[in-house]
Amino acid sequence: MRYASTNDTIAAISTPPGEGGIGIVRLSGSGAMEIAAGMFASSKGRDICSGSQRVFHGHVHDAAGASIDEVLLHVMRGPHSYTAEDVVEFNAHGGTAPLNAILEETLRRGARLAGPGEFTLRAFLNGRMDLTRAEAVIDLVRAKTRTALAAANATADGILSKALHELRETLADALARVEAAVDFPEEDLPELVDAALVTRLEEARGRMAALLDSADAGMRIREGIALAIVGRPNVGKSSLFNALLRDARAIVSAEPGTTRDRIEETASLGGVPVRLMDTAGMRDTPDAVESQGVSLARGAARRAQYILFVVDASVSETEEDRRLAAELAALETPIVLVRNKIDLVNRESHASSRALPGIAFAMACEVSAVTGEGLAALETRLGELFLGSAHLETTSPMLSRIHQQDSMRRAEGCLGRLLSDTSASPELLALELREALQALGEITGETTSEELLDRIFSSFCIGK
Amino acid sequence: MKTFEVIIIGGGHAGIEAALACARTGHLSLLISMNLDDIGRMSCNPSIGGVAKGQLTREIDALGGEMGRCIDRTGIQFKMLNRSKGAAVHSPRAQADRFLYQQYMKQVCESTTNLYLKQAEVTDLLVEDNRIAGIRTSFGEEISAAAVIVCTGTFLHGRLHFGMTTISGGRGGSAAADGLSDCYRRLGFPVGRLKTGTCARIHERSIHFEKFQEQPGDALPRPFSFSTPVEGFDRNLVSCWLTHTTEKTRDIILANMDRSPLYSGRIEGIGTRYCPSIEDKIVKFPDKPRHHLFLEPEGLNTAEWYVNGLSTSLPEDVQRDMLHSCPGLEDAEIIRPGYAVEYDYVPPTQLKLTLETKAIGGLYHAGQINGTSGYEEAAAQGLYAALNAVRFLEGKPPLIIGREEAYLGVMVDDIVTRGVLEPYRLFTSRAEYRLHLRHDNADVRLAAYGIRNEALLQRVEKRERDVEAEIVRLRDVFFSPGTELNQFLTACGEVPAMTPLSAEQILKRPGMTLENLWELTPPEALLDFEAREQVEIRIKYGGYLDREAKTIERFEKAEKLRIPDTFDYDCIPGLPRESRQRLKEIQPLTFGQAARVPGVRSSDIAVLHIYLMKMQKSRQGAVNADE
Repeated sequence: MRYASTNDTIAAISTPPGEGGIGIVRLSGSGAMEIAAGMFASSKGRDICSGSQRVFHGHVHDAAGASIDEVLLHVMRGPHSYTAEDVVEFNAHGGTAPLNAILEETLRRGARLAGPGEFTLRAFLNGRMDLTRAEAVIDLVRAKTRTALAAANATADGILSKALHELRETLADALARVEAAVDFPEEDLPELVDAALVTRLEEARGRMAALLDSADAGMRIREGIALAIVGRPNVGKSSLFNALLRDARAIVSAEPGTTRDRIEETASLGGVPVRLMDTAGMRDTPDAVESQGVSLARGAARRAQYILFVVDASVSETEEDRRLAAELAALETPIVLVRNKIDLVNRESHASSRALPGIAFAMACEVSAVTGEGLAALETRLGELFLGSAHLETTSPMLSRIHQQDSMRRAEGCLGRLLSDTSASPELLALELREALQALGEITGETTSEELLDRIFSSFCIGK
Repeated sequence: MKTFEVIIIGGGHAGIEAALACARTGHLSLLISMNLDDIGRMSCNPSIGGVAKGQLTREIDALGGEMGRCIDRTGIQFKMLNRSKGAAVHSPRAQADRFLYQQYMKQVCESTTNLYLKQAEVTDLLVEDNRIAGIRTSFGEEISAAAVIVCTGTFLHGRLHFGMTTISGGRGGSAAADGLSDCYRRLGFPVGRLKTGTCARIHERSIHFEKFQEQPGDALPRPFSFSTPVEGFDRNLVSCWLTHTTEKTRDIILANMDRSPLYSGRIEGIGTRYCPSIEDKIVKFPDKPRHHLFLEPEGLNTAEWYVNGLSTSLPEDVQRDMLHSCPGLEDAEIIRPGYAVEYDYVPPTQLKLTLETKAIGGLYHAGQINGTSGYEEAAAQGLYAALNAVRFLEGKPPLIIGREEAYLGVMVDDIVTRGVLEPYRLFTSRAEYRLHLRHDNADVRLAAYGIRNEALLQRVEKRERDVEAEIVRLRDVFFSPGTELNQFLTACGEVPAMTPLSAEQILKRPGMTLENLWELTPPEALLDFEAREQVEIRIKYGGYLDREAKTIERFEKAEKLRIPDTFDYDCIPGLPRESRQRLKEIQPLTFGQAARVPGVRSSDIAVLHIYLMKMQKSRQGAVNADE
């Protein structure tokens, strides 16, 4: 167990690292008030522990009594706070030095550095939110695209919990009826599974199937996908890479460590965070350095969930194009054919029947990375390809985690078996319903196993 | 002063099992009853078993109790409820001759070595240093014992309501036990009120049986006790009879509601939802035009009949009008009127999982004092309390039977962990692992915990070997879809096979029995009825049983995570106050039990888990450091 304690007071810097206009250090726990009171001097000499006032102006000072920073102090007493514990937030000036100094002072006074996601863990453990909502909070923090943000917001608002709650109600109603048939055989009870009940269960199963359908899109919106740009040398892969990034630059966040060589970047394409991998031109070569690049390219193509296969539209397809296409097709990863350099093509002749026979492409596009022609269409169509056009609407309930998908699959399987023979003996119908309810409860955290909780919360980010 | 090892207060269904179990394990035992003629009295319906209760009775038998043997000798009609459903919910039930039943139980008690009977009223429990020391009777006599099992039924401060007339009494015709009730209050136990009721008994000569639907017993009756051979068992001597209430019955009840102690506020105790009075049924289900009524004979040598479904506390004249409004009962002659009884119970959250009180060592409670209802529930608790009292006397660790092992375990855990808000009755839906908790395998599940049952244990072990061997054999025998197989299948009324089938696959077909299958593939040695039944159930239910077994594994993991007796819930500030209070009050033995305490949220349980894991780790760390 990573979080071996919830009785101490935790602290963390809650705003992103780096320079900012304002930065927040957050404290939560039974000692939050005492720690904050000890290091804060109100400019009006007020006591932060008494009275109804919740916002104070003043200075934070260190052990020696020297002022660290001028701050606004927000006091949120439990249980009416984010964690349901006493929470104090120092709204200080942004910048690493003052925030670190404030954090260090809280630690010196007995707080402990919060683990990833520990504030939210406490909110969940203190009963402030169910699991779907707690998980969505971390997605909010991590959202890399607007679509991801909207999806996380909807889930954090409880749209998924509500959908699951309604499913549980339907199943629990059915279970009650089935159990009654077993326990009261001598009463003249209504028919065990009548047409109306079957209809309700079938409808519930439909909703489960829709949620399962949403899971792939949900996970892609949340986790993103890997996209490799592959092609023989000089077809314009790097131009395309840069062109796609340029459009997305505004909301791209750099993955540290992967950006030095500029061959991997994250961009938002059609609402999905996409890890774009530029690769070396693939060809057989005796040159050792180039050969290493080629092998890296092959690795990237294998890791990717989609491949952008780039060809030069201004010249005929070469033997190398065909060999490479065949090699990629063998990976069984969906391939998008991108004909680049359409700006160099004679308008009348480029749409000729040149093709790569025998290769099934997920889609094909024509662009000019240099002029930008066709890029917007490529992005839109990639978004549809990644999410399916049905799931671009992010305000409907969505599953976005593997464990949610697993549990929902189990629940849906139970209901499927039940509906395949509703004349089965009631104790067997009950077994399916009980198991389905158990599985749904795991998604909301009502019946979550502790190991699962551990896995879920260890992936949370600091400060929220 | 006289000295016994164990004193059992009360000679009802709980008291009998408790007394017999203590005496049979060699402990000097005294059973005290206010009226020894009432030992084993069936105060309410003259039947044993039913849904979940039948399974429980088989469990009592597997543990060495007397109830199953008694009903097999004194029952007069046997019926398997839920027979049209799967084997897991088959529930044996029998009508008893209540006079023979009582007589048999009294004789067994009188003839048991180490068991002494005494007619007296216990008014005080003697307690020294938070341990039970003995009892005092209403005559001032003191008797000492290291363990006392209290099985007082509805007698503690019992009040009987016949319409607006209320009299003191433990049941119709018996005095209440107010002294002991006051003693509990003096000792500081919280005491609550519950209510239950019974119906009128009517004279046989006034019943028009021709207007009823006959409810005969089973063609092949099944005994309750594992010691009674199934083959040749036949005690179907009578029928029951079915009729129903009418809209006129409803009108009579509604017109007389002001004379019901239930609805005029005279009764404070909370009644059961499951065995409601007829006035409750009418009020709660106003749209239901009729309710079933079963006429059940009280015995072979009596003209009294029990009207199951018409429990009521309305005055006798209203009861008569109600009866007369039902087909076949137009001329019904009431011999004893129905009534409601209100009584004290001690909330079972005061008990450990052994049924010993947390406050007083050596003091055990069983039956209605714990807020349960039903003969079978009471008897099972009496037996279980005795098995633990005996271990207590012998300085042995307690016997805890889990929810995954028996309905008994489900019941004890339910009442001790969750408490009762109304009289508690067992249902199969209370059990998480219903497919495993069957009546047919109660001996397999429990014989090892029982008393006086070496013979049963040996039979179980042999049968298990035979059953497993036969299952393995059937799995390995294959038949190609030729003439021989398909002629056989057609003869059995089954669809012909298209592909090769194993004998196991053939037996999985719903209509197929093992005896049929043996015509195709004879076994090396014939198996008896009970072994055949096990083979069939385990093969037909196979996949489902496996699935349930997996969830049991998960459940057991939580049950194995112990919470030390000394665990301090105050060390978890993350716990809300009310959760902490609930956990402190219940003192759950395991993490699994803690998760079932009502009012404790799943998030609180997650916090508790974190702490327990941390403690376990530091303990393991300490052990490693020692090495």
